[in-house]
Amino acid sequence: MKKTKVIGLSTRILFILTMLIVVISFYSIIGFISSISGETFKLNMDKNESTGDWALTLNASPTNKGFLDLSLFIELTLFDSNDQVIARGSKHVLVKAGESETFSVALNIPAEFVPSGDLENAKGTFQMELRVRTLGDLVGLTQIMKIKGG
Amino acid sequence: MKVNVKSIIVAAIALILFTILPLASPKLVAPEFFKAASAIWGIDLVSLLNKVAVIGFIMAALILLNGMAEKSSKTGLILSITSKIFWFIVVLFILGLGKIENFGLAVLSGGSDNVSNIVTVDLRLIALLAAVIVSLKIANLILEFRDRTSIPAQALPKS
Repeated sequence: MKKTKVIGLSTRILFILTMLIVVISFYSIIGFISSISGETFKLNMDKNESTGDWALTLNASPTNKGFLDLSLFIELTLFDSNDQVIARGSKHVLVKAGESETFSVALNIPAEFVPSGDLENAKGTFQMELRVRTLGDLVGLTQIMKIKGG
Repeated sequence: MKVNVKSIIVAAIALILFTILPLASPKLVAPEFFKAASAIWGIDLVSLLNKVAVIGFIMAALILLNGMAEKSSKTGLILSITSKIFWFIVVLFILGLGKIENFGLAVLSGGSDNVSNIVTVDLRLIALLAAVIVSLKIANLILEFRDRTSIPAQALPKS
């Protein structure tokens, strides 16, 4: 077989492979993102009445509707008004194709950060980082959301 | 140099779709849409459309020149290679949402005073595969050109 034919054929195969990677990866990631809702990602705030400390818990049960396994990383961070970390919690989960995974990430917030006793109105920043990767971590999406309070 | 009617038509279509339309769209679409796009996705749409217009112009020029050049000539080879590199740049432009230098990393950011949201889509693998495909295509073009221009052994004069 001629060199040019071999290269031409390889190029075509690689092009089809690239297109397949794009379609399958996007299908997995978008399918996963669309499964995120108030039902599958619940954020609970509980106050320990005796100590005044707060517990912020994210309960998640996402579903991977795609054909590829998804690697999911979630990190919750709470900063004070000087951008110093008050609490941080993270979780790394592998969601297999067609399956769903249940997990939770919890933050313990000391009472001194919430002098008013109301966490929702406390001064500071809540940050949530969500990293979704597929195809052996080669393709992915990262979302960093910051909400300022107080 | 030949005049290729087909390439003139294709170049004109490319120029209308990718240069004239993007340049005219800020006048056709409500300015609120551009402001909203900037606030929600953090994209300067006007600047992005200007970049698309430049790409459209280069695309049209390359289609036209490729249509006029002889395929077997050196100019034809250079133009074909330039086209392949140009398409690779277009792929990087699309994957990076207008930022070629990000090499397949698209960043969207938006928000208001109290809420900020940054979304990064990592498609560097696709950019890398596109680079390999373009390299292979260029290698193929060079080999084909060499095959075409080399004198066959039978055609050499017998001494």
